[in-house]
Amino acid sequence: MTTTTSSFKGSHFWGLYKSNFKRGLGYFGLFSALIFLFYPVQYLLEISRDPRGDLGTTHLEPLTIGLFDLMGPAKSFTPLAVFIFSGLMVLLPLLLALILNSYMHSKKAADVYHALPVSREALLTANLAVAMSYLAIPVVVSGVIIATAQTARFGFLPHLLGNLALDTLGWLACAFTIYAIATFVAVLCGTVFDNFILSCELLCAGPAITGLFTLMASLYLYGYEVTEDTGFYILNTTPTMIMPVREILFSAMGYSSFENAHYYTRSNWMLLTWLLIGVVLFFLALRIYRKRHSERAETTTSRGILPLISQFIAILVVSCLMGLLFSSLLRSSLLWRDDFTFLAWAAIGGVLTFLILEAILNRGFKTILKRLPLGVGMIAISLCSFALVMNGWFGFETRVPAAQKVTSVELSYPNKSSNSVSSLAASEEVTQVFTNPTPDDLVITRLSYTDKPLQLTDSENIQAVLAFHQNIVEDYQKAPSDIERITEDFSNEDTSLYGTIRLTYHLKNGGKLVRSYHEASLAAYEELVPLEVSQEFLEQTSPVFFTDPSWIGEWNLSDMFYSTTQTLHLSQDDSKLLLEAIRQDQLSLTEEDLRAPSEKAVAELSFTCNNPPEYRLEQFSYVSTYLVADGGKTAQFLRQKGYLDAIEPDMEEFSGVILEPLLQFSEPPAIVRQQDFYSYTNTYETFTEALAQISKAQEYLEEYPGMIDSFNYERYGISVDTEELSQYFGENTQEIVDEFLDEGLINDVNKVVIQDFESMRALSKLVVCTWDQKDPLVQATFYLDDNKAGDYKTVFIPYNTLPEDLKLQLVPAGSQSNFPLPATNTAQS
Amino acid sequence: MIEATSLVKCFDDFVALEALTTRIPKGSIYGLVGSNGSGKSTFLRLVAGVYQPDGGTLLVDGQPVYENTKLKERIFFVADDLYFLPQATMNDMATFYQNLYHSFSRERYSKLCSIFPLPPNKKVHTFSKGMKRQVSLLLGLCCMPDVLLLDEAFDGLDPVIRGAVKKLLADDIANRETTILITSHNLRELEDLCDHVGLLHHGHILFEKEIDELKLGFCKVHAAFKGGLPENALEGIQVMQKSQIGSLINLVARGTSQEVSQLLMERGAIFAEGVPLTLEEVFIHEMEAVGYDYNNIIF
Repeated sequence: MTTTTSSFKGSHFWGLYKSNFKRGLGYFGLFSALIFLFYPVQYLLEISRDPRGDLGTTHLEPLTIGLFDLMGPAKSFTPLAVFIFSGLMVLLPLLLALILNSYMHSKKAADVYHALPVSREALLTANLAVAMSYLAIPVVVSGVIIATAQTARFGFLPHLLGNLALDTLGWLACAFTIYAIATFVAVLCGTVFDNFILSCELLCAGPAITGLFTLMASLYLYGYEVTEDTGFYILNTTPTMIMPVREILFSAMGYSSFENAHYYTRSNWMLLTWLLIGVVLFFLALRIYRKRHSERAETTTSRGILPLISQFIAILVVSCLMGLLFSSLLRSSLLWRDDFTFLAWAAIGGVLTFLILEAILNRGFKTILKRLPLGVGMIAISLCSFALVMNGWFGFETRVPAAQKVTSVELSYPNKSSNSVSSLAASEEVTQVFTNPTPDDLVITRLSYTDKPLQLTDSENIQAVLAFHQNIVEDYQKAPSDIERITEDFSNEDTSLYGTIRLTYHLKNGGKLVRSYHEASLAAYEELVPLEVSQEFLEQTSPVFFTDPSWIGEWNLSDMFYSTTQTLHLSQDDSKLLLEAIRQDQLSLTEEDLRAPSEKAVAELSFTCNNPPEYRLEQFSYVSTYLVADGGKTAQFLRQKGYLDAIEPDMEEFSGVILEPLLQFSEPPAIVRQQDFYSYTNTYETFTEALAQISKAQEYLEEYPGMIDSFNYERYGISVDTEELSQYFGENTQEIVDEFLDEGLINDVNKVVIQDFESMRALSKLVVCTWDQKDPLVQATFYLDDNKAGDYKTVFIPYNTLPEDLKLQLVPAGSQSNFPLPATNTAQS
Repeated sequence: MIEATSLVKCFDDFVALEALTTRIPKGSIYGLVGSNGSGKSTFLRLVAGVYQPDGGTLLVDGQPVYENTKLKERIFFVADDLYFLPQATMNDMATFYQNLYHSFSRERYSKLCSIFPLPPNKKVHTFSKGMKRQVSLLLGLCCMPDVLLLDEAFDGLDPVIRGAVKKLLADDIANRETTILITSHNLRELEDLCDHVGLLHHGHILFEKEIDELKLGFCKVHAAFKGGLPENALEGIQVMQKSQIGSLINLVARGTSQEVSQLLMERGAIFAEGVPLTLEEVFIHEMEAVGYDYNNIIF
């Protein structure tokens, strides 16, 4: 018996190939024209213009490829071309698969083709060869035209030419995979219509299912994280989107970004994976086609595995979509999770989809009763999968790995002096901006970055992270829904910090466990305090540990109220000594020192740093700020050099201080929202730490007289001060005001104005470097006599360190407050 | 030689061929008759390798046909419902088959183009039904197959072309020992062409014989008697069918026409002479002999 191989190798294959190729020359011409028009022609039009005029640059500037509106790793697409060419490269392979394989869906044609002395494998492979020739010839020729034009216009750019070659292969690989999927469907179904519908469904199934389940998981699964990678992976679950995403990604993220390179590598892997899937599917199609019954032609696709898969995918996607849509439309509150509504609408969606698909696939409802159990089964499986997500997906929400199974953990927990601004710092533009910073930049920005994730391997640190994670999980188990955490009694038990924290455990079995939380209670954060004094943590997060003295531009020193600022021009040796002093101070601190510092804060020290470019890719620090506690090695160094004495604030220069408790602590429920904290950090970045660093803040408030007016307005309901009132009431002013107060005609205001120098001096000594976030805090704004508009200094003082009389004035007896009452009302002295 | 043994082919729940067993000798023209849906086309598709048998065996020259490309190069199938490549001319179709059948004869193609009144450069889809049938037969003959499968081959052909095709087929058998399997629901169409006939009914061969062998035991005689048919006139004659129109009596009886005519003349017939039997008449009587009512099967 003659084998298929011998036939394939023989001239039959080539005979068929030649015949089919010639027969489809019309299509070939059309496809080529479209590809040329929307790829090389667009490119040639773009590079033939001079963009320097539009960009406002002079004609003396060299005409580089970067000036043109070109996209992709090879800079070969105009924005219009990338969209239309992407569409063509998705549509054409699908169309070719439908056309070339349509013979097997016609009884008449199947009689002819299947009676030919050609094996079915050869038939299918010849069609593939024809399809790929139709696509490859215009794409490769387009690539050659672009490469030639690029070299002629911009010179020899090997990296772009290499990327162009890779791009060409990538597009063809995707086209092959799309063709292979459509061919796989073709051999399993009986009509061209079914082939089209089912191929489209398979091509869209990946993004649809992963996208909807990701959305569902992000809404219902506590600890699940949607990262910037998620979208990338969702789009890469179909061969139709790999290349468009890749071309657009490069343009969106900047050509030289290292994050881009990271995505590029992943994109290559996805491309290879899809190519492999395409090859496997095509070989499967060959095997199936060999056994395919010719009589399946012109029959509807109601039997077999394909319609089952297709129906299940459609039911899963539509029911999930309906569930998500209607549960979000019908729920009464954004915080309220209505699982029943979701499942009810998902069930309705599932039933409708089943009925519609039955009508399409079986051309009517004749078999509906027979297939009803199957439909019910598919809907039940879909609903069960949704319910599983809603109920924690097999313990996903509560899983905390055992300490002995963890080798290391990555954590997005910032150092107090190093706020992460990865997306900004990584870009060249920001580096440019901060090469010559303005004073404003220096004041408001602490810019440092480490791309190396904080990786903890020390067993005590891992234990601390596990305890933090366990605490979050336990809180969640007590009150699983957002609404419960806000409205139930639970909210009063503890306060929470809002801000994303990400945990990545590397397990001994090689696995990874990733969780992300957007809030955690202060009690949970309390578990992370040991990290703050851990050498492993500090070495990775505090810029003084990874900054070379030679990179430092200058040091800046100011008092805590910013009344005096000095720029220190230290020698490299002194910088080295100062860095070492800060390191020693940080390493010598204990947890107790951080929670209740015994030493007052005397200065704020910062340094500007210009890392070598290659170093910025991993760790970048522009300005790092440290508070200097009295008594430490840093203070000792600065004092020895005479810098500290030079910035000692003179309290007599201050007009007054306005003290007020932080609002969020005076009004239950005490949910601390992250946005409220901006005023006592020097950054607007998300701030989630167990311990806060007390630092001066540049506040843009009214001038002191204006503030006193506001104070009086708040207090008396009128915008006049007591001096003005005395003009009317004379000596009786205070008596009348007190009477008004007693009658409730004047508001109680938890603010105190201090104007005597001694009290101000005493207050200034209460400013410390760190503070336990659980403790109440008082905001103190110091007003200089000669202050300029908008130049007011706010510091924060732990409430418990204030004199008793001040405490009483700030929180009068009987007022609604979380603040512990002063000694007169409590046993505390 | 085509040899089917207990051949089964099903379409879902419908059994198209049920344990079909037959043997078609090399170099014969086998006529397969049967009513619509009896399984004629299915059998042809199985022989052509279009369908895969669900049971039994089907061998052509001792080899299974399905996916046997070398064997299929010697088989050409002309389906009942014709298909040509979209927008193709007869020349395009010839090139298409020439690329796939090594035995394709360009010389014969040129010769046949001059016999058949067909424009070779005109698109086939513009042709009439009969012309399309001619194209497919012409291409089939040009491929010089050893086995030619013709499904309702004469459907739509005018008598002149029909005669020409029959002659060409006869020449092929004579010159190249081509085996021709031809289906029809009309026995009369096959009787002057086939040397073997088979009747397919409900998926199996009900009856098959060589034509010559079929016609040997029967005869048809016309006779007339003066004053009507005497009572003992048919004694000793095995009459299978008798009909009378006026004084003319038509008899189908066993034996030769000469013997029967002789007997009738001896018993007073004015004249008695043998006339040829049609294939249909032979079928009717053969099938009645095996217990079937032919009219219920064919019509």
